[in-house]
Formats: sequence, C-alpha cells, structure tokens
Amino acid sequence: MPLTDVHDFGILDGISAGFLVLDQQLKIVFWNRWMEKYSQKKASAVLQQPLLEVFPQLDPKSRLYQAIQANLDQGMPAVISNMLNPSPLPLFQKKQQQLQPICQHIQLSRVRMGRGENTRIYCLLYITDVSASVMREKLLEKHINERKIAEEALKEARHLAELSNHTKSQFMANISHETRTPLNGILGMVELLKNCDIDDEIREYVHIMAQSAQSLMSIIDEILDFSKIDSGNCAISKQPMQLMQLVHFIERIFRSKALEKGLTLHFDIDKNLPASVLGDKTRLQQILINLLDNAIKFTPQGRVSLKLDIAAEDERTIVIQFIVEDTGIGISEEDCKRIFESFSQADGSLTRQHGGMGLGLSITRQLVSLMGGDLSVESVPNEYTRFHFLLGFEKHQQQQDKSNSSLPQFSGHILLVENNQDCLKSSAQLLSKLGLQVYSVSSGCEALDSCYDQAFDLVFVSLALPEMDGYKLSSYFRAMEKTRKTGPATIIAITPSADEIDRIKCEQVGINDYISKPVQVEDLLRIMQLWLPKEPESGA
Amino acid sequence: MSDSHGGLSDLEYDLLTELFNIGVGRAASVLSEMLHQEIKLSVPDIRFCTVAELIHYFNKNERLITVSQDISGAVDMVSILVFPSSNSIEVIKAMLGEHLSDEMAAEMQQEAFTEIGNIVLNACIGIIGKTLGEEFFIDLPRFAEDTPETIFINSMNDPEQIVMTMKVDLKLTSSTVSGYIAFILGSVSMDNIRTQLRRMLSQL
Repeated sequence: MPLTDVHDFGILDGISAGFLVLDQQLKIVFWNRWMEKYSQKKASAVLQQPLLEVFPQLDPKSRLYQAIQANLDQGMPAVISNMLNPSPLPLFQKKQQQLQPICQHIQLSRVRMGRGENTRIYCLLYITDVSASVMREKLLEKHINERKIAEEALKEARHLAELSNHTKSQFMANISHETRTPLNGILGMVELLKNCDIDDEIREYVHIMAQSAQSLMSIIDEILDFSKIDSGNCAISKQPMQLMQLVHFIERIFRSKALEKGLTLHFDIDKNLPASVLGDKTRLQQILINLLDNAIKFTPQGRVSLKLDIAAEDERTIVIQFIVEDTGIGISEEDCKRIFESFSQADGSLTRQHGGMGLGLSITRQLVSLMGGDLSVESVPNEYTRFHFLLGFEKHQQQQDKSNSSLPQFSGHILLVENNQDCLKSSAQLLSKLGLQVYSVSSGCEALDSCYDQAFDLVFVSLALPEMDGYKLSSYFRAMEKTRKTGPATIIAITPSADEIDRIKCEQVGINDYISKPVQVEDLLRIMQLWLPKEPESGA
Repeated sequence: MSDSHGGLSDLEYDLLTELFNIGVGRAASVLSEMLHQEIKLSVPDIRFCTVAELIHYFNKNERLITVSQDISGAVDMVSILVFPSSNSIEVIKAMLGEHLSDEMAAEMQQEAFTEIGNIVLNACIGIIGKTLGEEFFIDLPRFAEDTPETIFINSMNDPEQIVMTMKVDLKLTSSTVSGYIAFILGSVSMDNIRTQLRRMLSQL
C-alpha cells in the first residue's frame, strides 16, 4: 500500500531534505517534494516503481544499494557519506542553465508500520545536500595548499637571504680587518711625521692627514663591529664590572666634548645600584658611548643626560633601565621607525651635515638585543629624543666585598665639611678606608676654626651648607691661606648633581674640582690620584 | 574479571572468534570495494572484561575516537569501534589519498570514520544477531573524540558491566592500524551467548 496520504508523511514535504521510502520489494512508496525537485521526477511518476527502474544508473553492487538491502533484510542502519561515496543517487540542481550533481549525505533507517501480522518494514532514506560544505572544504584545501606553497617559498627565500647576508657580512669583516693593518701603518707614520722638523704648512697637511686617517679608522671599526654582529660572531661575555667605574669613564670621555658645545651633561645614577654586576663591560660601554655621542652630535644647545634606574631586582639579579635623553633636533615619528636600520640616518641631508655611516644605532640596537634587551626611541622634533632599554644582570656581591677589602691606600689629612649627617658619616668612612686621616665638621664656621689649628691636603666642601654656603666658605679659605701664608689646599666641592654646579663661580672662589652625591669610592679614587700630593707630608 | 574467555570452552571461543572474523571480513570487502584498495580487517583475539577494566587497555590521557551504535529491543547493548586519535589522520589519508593535508584529513575525520565505523559495526552486530537469534533495533552511528574515562565511564555505562572486546587490525596498503571493537553487554548474559554458541555447535 503506497504511503501517499498526507496524514502519513505529508509534513516531510516542508523539510529541506530528501525523504525516500522503499518497501521490502525495493519499490518506492514515498517521495517528497525535495526529491521531486532534485530528481526532476514527479512523485506520481515514481510511486510503486522499483528503485532500479527509477534510477537505472544505480549499481546494485554500490555501497548505497548494498546498505538498502542490509537495512531491509537485517535492520542495519547506515550512513553513506559524501566523503567516501560521491553522489550516490543521480540528483541534480540547476546552475546557470546546467544540471550539476549535488553532493549527498544519506542516512538509512528501518521503519516499521502497523502492528502484529500487519507489520510492514520499510527503508527510509534521509538525504541532505552537503554541496556547500564540500565547496567549503575544497576552498579550505586550496587555501591550505596555497599557504603551504607560500610558506615553503618564504622559507627558501629566507634561507637564501640569510646565506647571502652571512656571506656579505663575512666579506665585509674580512675587508675591514685587512684594511686596518695598512691604515695602522699610515697612522703610525703620520705620528712620526708630526715629530719631524717640518714647516707649518706641511704640519697643517700632516694634521689633516692624521684626522682623515683617524676618521677612516672609526668607519672601519664600525663596519667591523656591524659585520661581526651580523654574521653572528659577536659573543657577549659575563665578567664582573663596576657600574660606577663605567659611568665615570663615560663621563670623562664626554665631559669636555659637551663643554665645547656648551651643553649640560647630566648623570643621574640610582644610588641603590649594586657596585658590581656580571656583564660585558666593553659592549655596554660601547652602547652608552654610541648613544651619548649621537645625543651630543645632534644637540645644538641644551642638555644631554644619562640615567640609570633600578627597574626590578631580587636577591641575585637586577634589571637596570638605561635612559639617554637630549634636548636636540629630535626625530620625526616616521624616521623613528627606520632609525635602527643599517646605513640609515634620519634623513639624507643630516647624513651630509653630521657625517657617519648610519651604522651606529643599528650596531647599538643589535648589541642591546644580544645582551637581552630592546632599544627603543621616542622623540618630539626640536624638543627631545629619548633612547631607553632594560638590561638584566646577575649581582656580583663577593667580588664587591673583595674589592672593598683591597682598596688602594693613601696618606694625607682631609677636612670634610658636610651638614647632612648621613653623607658626612658615609663619606668619612670611605675616606678612612682609603687610609686617610679625616677631620669632619658640619658647618662653615667649624671648618674655618679647624683651619686655624692645622693644615689639610684636601678639603671637601658641601656646596649646600646652611648660613655660609660652600662657595663663600671656599673664598674664606683662600683668603685665610694668603694671610697665614700657608700652601694652598685643594678644595673639592660636593654637589647634589653635576648640573647644579656653577663652574665660573667655582673658579672665582678657588674650588679645584667637584664630585657628585652620593660620594662613591671611584670618585674619591679619581680625586686622590689627581689632587693628593704624591709624597704627602707626615703629621699635621 | 579473571576469565578472559568469559567462561567459554575452547571450542565455543574458537567459534565466536571465527564468526567475528567472517563478519569483519565482509566489512573489509565492502570497504575495499568502496575505497578501491585492498583493506583487510581481522579479529585475532576476543576478551571479556568489565567496563572499568577496559579503560586500562588505553593510556589514561590518550585521546580516542569512537563510533558507536546502540542496540535495543529484545536485548540492550552498545557497540563501539575505538581507534587512537593519533592514528586517525594516518588512516584517513591512507584511505582517501596521501595528497590530503593533515588539516583536511582532520576536517574529514568525523564523517569518514562514522561511515567506516558503521560498516564494521554493522558487520559485527549482524554476527551477534545471528548468534543470539534475536531481532533488535539499531541506532544510527554516532562519533565522539575524548579520553578513555570520559568515553567509557562517564557515559551511561555501569563500570561493572561486562564487555566483549576484540582487538581489530586494520591493514591498509601502506600501514596497519590497531583498534578495538567493544560490545558493552547490557541485558545480554554470558549464559545466553554460551547457550546459543552450543546450539550452533550442535548443529554443525
């Protein structure tokens, strides 16, 4: 009995899927509207017809046909996937006036109708159109294949570029190295020539020759450094290094250079920094020299500063923030993006005005990166430029203790004038550790009283004394020396920061040198070596 | 469970193994025809254990893919085909073509495995039906991917339920992959299976 009554299956006409019911003789007993549409066969034409007559293309050995038989015979349900059985039934859809087979996913279930002796068994085929998901899978496959081909090509290109870059860097390193040898010969000969008996005109030529050769040597050194880093031959060492020693070394290099340009050079060093850390002193020095040299080069007026801060620390390690800032010509936002590229400066005209290979910042950034940091820049044209980076170091406590215990010893009498008791105490202790006899006072009046009783080799005067400040006290000292006709003592000013010192005033009142707070052993060593009489007199 | 043969005599055990080998052999021929390559399926060994013991056949954190069909009516059972997830991509590629990328094979995994599982399980369920002489209703296959515990314990199964399990070797042109077919015997007792096997042996 055909199942054509709407009360039986009519509702299935409203579903966007194919429903086909077969009886045990494999005759079609239900055929919904979806089936009519995609088979182009009306229900009236196929009902009660054997499946193989309606679809003569269907192979009785096919998976679908076998599954239908197993379903009717044994009740086996089945899933016929498009993946393993493309288009099992000849169903089509019209696309651009052409019939195209639809991709199908078919589920087979056994259906029982009636009860007892009237029980009839049917096979229900539930067919869904999966053409869209098949299309999506094909596109996905295409996309994956294209991406893989592109990745392979990119990998190959990168490999070739790296190979070529390495070869280039190696070549540059070899050339630079080979060029240094004859250039050293030229520089040596020029030095000898300077000492010969030559007239002024030739001396001028020799001077220019020496300058040019020196400038060429700097360029070659830069190329050599760049090539070493680029070819991966630049190793970073881990040796104990004294941070303050490094800072003073840099200060000595740039102090006169800044003065020549009329710039203020400011060093702001966190007093809680450990004395010694493990790192590559030479490379860190090179980084800071490159950045400060650049800052001074591109700052016509104003100030250049170096700041070292503690960003983080634990018992064993410390992260230090390094900031080099200037009030120079600045860099535009666009130029900031390419300033670290090799052979690049902010613009062509600057390259001509200021010279240089445009390698300095590239080398600096790579060195920072090799040490585990990342060099960044921020700038506002004609306002400021700030380069900053963070570097992590292991603290080196034992070495610090050892170095304290092996401080060089001096002899001499020192007057220390400081109103801040903490500073007075720590400075006096440091001076004592250097073997010096220290007489400490906390005001200008006390200091002048002391000088009536004894002579001092060195007088340390804090500039920020109350009532009688350091400048005034120094001028009284000099006046007193004249009256008493004693030899002049060396006066060293203690200043909160190098920036705050008035050099002209210092000269006027007879201050010889200065150190910044907090007083560091390195500062004192420099002062002692420079100013303490070589053979100090014994006793007061 | 101490007796891995489920209390079956050697003869009964051999008969059951042979019946399943015939069943999976048929499934293999359907798969070979469908995929246009020689596929061999064999069931070398049948064991009986509890659901809790079955979990120890796999590594705890190993991901498994399963296709299962529930059987209800005169008897209640769950039939499951299990493969390690790590092998599934290899199987799909071996069956559908090595040109497939791993991503595409993963995309096709569910649909392809559901049909393969359906073919293999139907063949085995047919054997069980014949052995028990019962007619029952079989659900459409469903696919899952998860850890052994989630698949076997956290489902509706009682950990003490008896499982008839058989290792199944799937031999493809380029590789062999091993998995398991398991029948979690709900209302079916071992006595029932033994009785039917004895009946079959007496008719030989």
